Amino acid sequence: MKEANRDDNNQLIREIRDGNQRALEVFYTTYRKAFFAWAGRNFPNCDAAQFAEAWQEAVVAIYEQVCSGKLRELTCAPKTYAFLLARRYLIGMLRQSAKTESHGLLPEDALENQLAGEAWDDPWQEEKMLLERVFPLLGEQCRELLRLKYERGMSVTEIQAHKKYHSANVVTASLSRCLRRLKDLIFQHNRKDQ
Amino acid sequence: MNEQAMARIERYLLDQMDPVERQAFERELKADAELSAELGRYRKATELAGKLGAQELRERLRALDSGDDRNPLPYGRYGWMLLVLVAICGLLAWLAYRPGAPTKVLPESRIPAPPAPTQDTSALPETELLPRDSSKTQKPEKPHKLKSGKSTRPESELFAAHFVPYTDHTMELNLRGRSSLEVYDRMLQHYRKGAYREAMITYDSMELNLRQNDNCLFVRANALMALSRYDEAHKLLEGILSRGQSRYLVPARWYHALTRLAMGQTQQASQALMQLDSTQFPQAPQLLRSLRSHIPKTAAGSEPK
Repeated sequence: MKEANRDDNNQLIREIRDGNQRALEVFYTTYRKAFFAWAGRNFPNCDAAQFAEAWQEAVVAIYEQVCSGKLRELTCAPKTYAFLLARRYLIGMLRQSAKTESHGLLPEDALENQLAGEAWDDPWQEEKMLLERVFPLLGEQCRELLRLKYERGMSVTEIQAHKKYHSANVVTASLSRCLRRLKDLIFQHNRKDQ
Repeated sequence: MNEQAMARIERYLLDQMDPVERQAFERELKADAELSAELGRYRKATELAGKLGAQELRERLRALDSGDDRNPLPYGRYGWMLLVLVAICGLLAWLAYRPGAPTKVLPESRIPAPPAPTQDTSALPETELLPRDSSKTQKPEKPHKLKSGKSTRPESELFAAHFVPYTDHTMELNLRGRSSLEVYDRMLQHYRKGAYREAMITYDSMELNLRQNDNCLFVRANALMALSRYDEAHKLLEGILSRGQSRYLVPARWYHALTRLAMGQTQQASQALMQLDSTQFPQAPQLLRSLRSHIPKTAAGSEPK
């Protein structure tokens, strides 16, 4: 029985690992309302826009953790885990905006204690802003190639097979071009900010 | 940083160097601060490249949210279906029982005839046409024919009865090898499956020149109409008609008239319908007649040409 539950818990992780972002979108939509209801009760000082941001970031964080290999298995339901991440995000937002302490609590467990003990500030804020600006300027093909290489960790040969390119040289040349484009975009962005 | 040095860094990062070359390059890095700094910039890019998927997901989730926020409904995701059903039943009942009404219900909707190939002045290159693929057999989601819970105006009902997102053989494309066109292809795939939100997301990810192409804008306008965003669709169609460069110029006139109708501009809708050629748009006279009988104040003077 326990084994079956574990399988259910990790179904979403398997889907993400297989490159099925759609599964995560379904998960996001399915529990969004429940999260808003829960957050509304426990975080009365936050507004709907903050709930939306926290829920989005929690789901994105699950995706990133699975892709980077940091999250391989869940011992709780994905919904619980996502709620914990979103809760941490909301607490961080409250701390940042120096609002009153939140009383949002979830049932005690090890993960909860671990998260509750962590200091929170969003260290990726700058990176997110950079991504927001750079993402639309990078072509679709570049984005896909770079994701295959640097997110899914595929080798040039694997990308060649996956994308059905005739030659590995085409993949290498395209990756070089895309990497340079991305580097230049980051440089332009930083120069604008200065 | 010169071209050769950058090419070497790229080879290094993509594991294209043999062990000897790699060692030599690493020694050089220790000695050359400028080369090392440039490698640092490339590493930042690779780091960010690993987050592109997360950003794509973030944008898709945002798009899902903006869709939800536009149509907040009390009964969850099936609420709009319920409301559409209630609205249609209400309209049918009204048509059947109103005093002195003809027994005829709303006319059948038909897709406009495909435009003549000679009108194709598209900026898109020639494309390879393939036989109808399996996606043709997929049942698309129905477009949001009525703005859920908001309106049961006769204009809206007539619009709902006549609006079918445009499709023709030119949309059965399979373009390969050209990155920007692959995106266009993907947008069409979403569009033809009835996944209008996804089609819009894909449109947003296109390169600027393709986003400004009138054929893409026509598809976008149809997707917007299917999502009940008539005002935006109307503006796009006006632009397409004024420029006169789209391969979908002829059907664009029909959809332009429909957006007027959806926005409640019955007089302008009638005028636009009257200007349509009834041989190309056999449904136009029917719609015009329905407009006259359902909305008496419509100043529709004569039949379409």
